[in-house]
Amino acid sequence: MAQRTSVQRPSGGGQGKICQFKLVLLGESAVGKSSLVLRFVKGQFHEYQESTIGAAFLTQTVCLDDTTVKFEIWDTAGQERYHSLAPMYYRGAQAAIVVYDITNQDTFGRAKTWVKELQRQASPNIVIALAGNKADLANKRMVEYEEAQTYAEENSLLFMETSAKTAMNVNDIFLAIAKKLPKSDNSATGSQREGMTLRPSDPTPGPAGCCK
Amino acid sequence: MYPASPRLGRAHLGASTFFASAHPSESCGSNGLPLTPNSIRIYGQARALQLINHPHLCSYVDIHRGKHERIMVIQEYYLLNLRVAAQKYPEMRSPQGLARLAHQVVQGLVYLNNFGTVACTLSPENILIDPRGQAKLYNYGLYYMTEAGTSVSFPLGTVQYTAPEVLLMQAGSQEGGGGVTGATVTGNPVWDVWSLGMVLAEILLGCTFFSGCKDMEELVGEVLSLALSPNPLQHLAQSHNACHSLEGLPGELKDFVSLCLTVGPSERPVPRSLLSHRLLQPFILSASLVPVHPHFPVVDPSLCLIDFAHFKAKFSMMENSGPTLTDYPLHAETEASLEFPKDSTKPRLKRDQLSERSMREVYHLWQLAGGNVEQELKKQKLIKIKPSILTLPSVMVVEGEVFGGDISHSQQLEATTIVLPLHTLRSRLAHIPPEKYYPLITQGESGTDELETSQLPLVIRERDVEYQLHRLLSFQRLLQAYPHKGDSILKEARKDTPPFYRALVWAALLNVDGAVAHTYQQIDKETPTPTDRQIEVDIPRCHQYDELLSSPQGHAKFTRVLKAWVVSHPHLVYWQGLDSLCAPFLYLNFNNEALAYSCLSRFIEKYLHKFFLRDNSAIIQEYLAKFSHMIAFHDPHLFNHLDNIGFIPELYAIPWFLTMYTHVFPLQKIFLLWDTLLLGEASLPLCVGVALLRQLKDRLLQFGFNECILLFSDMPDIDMERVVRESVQVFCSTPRSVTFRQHERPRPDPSQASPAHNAAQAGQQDLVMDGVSLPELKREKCPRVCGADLLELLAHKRSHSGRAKVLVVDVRSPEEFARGTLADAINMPADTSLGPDGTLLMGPQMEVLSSYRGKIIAVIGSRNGWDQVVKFAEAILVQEFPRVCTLHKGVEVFRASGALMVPS
Ligand SMILES: Nc1nc2c(ncn2[C@@H]2O[C@H](COP(=O)(O)OP(=O)(O)OP(=O)(O)O)[C@@H](O)[C@H]2O)c(=O)[nH]1
Ligand SMILES: [Mg+2]
Repeated sequence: MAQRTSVQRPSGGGQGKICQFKLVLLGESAVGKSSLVLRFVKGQFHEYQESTIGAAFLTQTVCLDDTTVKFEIWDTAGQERYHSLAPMYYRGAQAAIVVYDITNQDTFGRAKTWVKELQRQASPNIVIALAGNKADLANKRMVEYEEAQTYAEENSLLFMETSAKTAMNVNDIFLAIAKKLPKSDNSATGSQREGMTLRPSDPTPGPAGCCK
Repeated sequence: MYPASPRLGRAHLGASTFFASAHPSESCGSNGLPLTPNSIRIYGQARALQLINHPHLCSYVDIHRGKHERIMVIQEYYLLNLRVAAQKYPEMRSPQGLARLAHQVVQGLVYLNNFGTVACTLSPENILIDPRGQAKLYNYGLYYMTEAGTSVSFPLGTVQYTAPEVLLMQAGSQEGGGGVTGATVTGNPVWDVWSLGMVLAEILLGCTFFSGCKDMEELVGEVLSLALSPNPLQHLAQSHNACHSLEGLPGELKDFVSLCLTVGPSERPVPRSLLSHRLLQPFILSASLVPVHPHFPVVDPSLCLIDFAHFKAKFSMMENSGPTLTDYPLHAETEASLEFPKDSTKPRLKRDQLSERSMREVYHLWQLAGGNVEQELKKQKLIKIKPSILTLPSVMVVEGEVFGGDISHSQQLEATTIVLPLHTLRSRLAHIPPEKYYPLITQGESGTDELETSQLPLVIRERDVEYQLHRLLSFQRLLQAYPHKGDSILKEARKDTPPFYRALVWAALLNVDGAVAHTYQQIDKETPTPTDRQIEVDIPRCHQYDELLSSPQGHAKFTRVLKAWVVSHPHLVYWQGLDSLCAPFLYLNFNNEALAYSCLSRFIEKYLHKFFLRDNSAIIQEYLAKFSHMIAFHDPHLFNHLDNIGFIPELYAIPWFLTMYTHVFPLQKIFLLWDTLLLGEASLPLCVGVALLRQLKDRLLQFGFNECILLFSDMPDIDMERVVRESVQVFCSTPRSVTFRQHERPRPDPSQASPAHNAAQAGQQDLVMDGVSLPELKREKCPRVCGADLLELLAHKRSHSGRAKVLVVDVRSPEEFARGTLADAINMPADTSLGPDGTLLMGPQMEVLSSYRGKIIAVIGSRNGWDQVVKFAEAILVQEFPRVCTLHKGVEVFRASGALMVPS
């Protein structure tokens, strides 16, 4: 397994620094988490994006000045019932995007719950961004920009309204996260051991228990 | 499929085509997503028309979508229509003939109203006359499938025969659209009554109405002017110089037609009340006027004599049918090959077996024999191929809207129907002896066994017309006998499942029985529940590449079936993924929600017992742990790699099992997989998982964690037939107790007794598998096997090579070993065979062990020394010994069985 690590590196790397970060997407079902990831990673939008069961995994690399930032993205299932799987994914994550749908007030409430949970349970210096998705549907807006912005400021979150459909602010929010992440060597090594961060570290099933 | 469509008889399969209206490009619904194309709306809506089965309504056989919103419809068809027939046959236009015609058309209309719609297309061209002089309404489903004309841009009916109020409504609707404003698919039954009046009046008066009109506007004006007349029939007679024809007509006939031509829609009678008109009194109903909903178990309505009305109808049909029309138009191609005797009143010498098959079956076989409607329509110039340069738009604005280019096609309904030529199919099947069409199911042979095709791969069998014909014949018989013939269905389905009958075969394999329709009907599928939001957001994301499931009808049915399941399983809940699980059943039973629901419920009971509990953690964890054991058991090489990189099933396999692969594969692959899955036990899906991993083994072995997980985030192309084959092999080479799960559904049928079960009966409780705590399961890498299974494996001993299928390795100390162990066990004491780091050391027995590589290796030890057993098993697993398992509860389980002996 170790001999293949080099494949992970984007080609042409070598001059600059390479950092790997684990990022998790959280939020109510159908707010557009998978769509945001798909837009960011493949530049596509599927109107019939399949729902996510358990979680999906994708990677994407962005360049920031002389640093190459590689995101390992865990896109989780939004249905409340899958909640108990979430810790397995956000544990050890350096960044999180909490997504809501600007046309649905309930999803904003759910986003706040996620932020609280991250603040309590995730690693203390996790970078959290709040994304108000489906900004293209401004005429059906139920969550005011200002309301979300105020909330984000109070909780020191990055905040943008995004649209996976039109691509508005999608790259930007990932870039903003990349900028905010510490890029000293030791901070990023956490996820250098590929995948290992995810394993429930001890054999007794902790809160990582599945589908509780 | 079902309900069985009427037999082909002397009908043709007719194909016609039209365009759905296209949405302006880039237009979006309120959710910001593209609108459902109208052709998909129509496609989903039209499905229900296949349920219509009445002697005076041409059957809808199938419908397809083509490019650019094209719809192609295949219907029962006859070469003679009323306009021609009335000219050609004096008996058709005689008062008696017209009364009979009226009676038949009205019956068709009443049935249609009972079905919940209207025709709106009645005209002499859309009333076909079969060779026995029976009227058959044609194209009557347009109004229904286009949702009152809203999804096409042409008017549905022929203006001359359209009721004035309909013309007014069409004029009121937005320009371009063919829709009737404010109308629902139910429509108003009296519209058709007007049309019938016009059709009859025209024949009575012996003229063609309004033939002098120069344009559409004038024509519409003429029809509307009728509405101003106190007596439209008189008015028509006068304006067409045909008053003389009215005289001397029987009073009832004149009265009937005048009644049909009542101007005010609210005073005009509906078809049902016309049935009691004096004119129609002499006639008996041809068939029941109430649509029959599909049954499962299949009740063939034609065999059902309890329904007296139906019984009567069967008889009257024969009395009424009268002699065959002489000189009936023949379709050149078909008839030539058919060798019809010229005088067709004489009994035919050679029965045409194909005409005894149902139309849908014939069409299915026609396609298998290479038939393709689109090609056929092109050949016969109904689809005109334009050089694409001519269809290019001339202007395109930045917003994406286009102007120019030839898109005029969608403005009209092409009235022509082409006949699908059946000669290729007939000649492909010509050599099959007639008796083969009536297989005897009691003989327990299927008629396909002697065919060479039965040895060929599934893809070939599925496309071989002759093979499929035989399969259809035997499955039809078996399904009619279900539940009685359940075992034979299982036996036949082990060979393969004919796609044509898949829906019913699956239902039979799932043991669906009882009051399916009634049960479903009783369930409240409407009242809002907290789960609704989740269902509502999941359905538009579930297998939406499929045109049926993405249609509005599909969504509505999806919602009802899922809600029905949720409310009727109060101890279970909706987990995302249930939608995917429902998809194959809904797709197959699109016209029978009740059966889709029953199949879904039965499937979950059998394969996903407790998976949909609110707290399913223990169940899923156990399942995944067993899966991990199965990987280790069957492919230690792969297991060790995945284990090393931390690629655990929790991270990728939850959607596999929770949805039984329906969230992972497209429908066509799921069908292939489930055809086999449904034959097997609840543990088969674990074997499928192993087969899947093994198919991707080469890649997985090279990949690190990230690449592995990426591979499964977007499932690569899989050779499903191979997966299916290998999963059966995996299943057969796995002792049953290896896949034992504490949470699996108790096996209901004690007659399928396993050795373990027998042991339990005999009170040897220790020999059978029982629950193991989750932490233990997860800690152990190799599966446990129960004492009974091990004894059975040992009994199977000495196959051809004289070698046992299993090697028993006793890891206790030599002293304990010497006091008694299983026959032929070898002793490799864990204390001395394992190094301090748990690795396997070379020892005297290594050679024996190695010689058994590939066989089952059962590690046994004492109950107290369990850790040693586990360690030893892992040590040989690391050495990539396949099929390593440990004896559940230790050697002690054999004490009472007398299986222990002093080693020689
Ligand atoms: N108009 C609009 N629709 C969007 C946008 N993003 C996503 N959608 C649609 O919203 C629906 C849900 O999107 P998903 O990406 O599947 O949502 P999700 O958050 O991953 O949902 P779960 O997997 O159930 O947790 C899909 O039909 C998308 O096409 C957007 O920016 N604008
Ligand atoms: Mg998702």
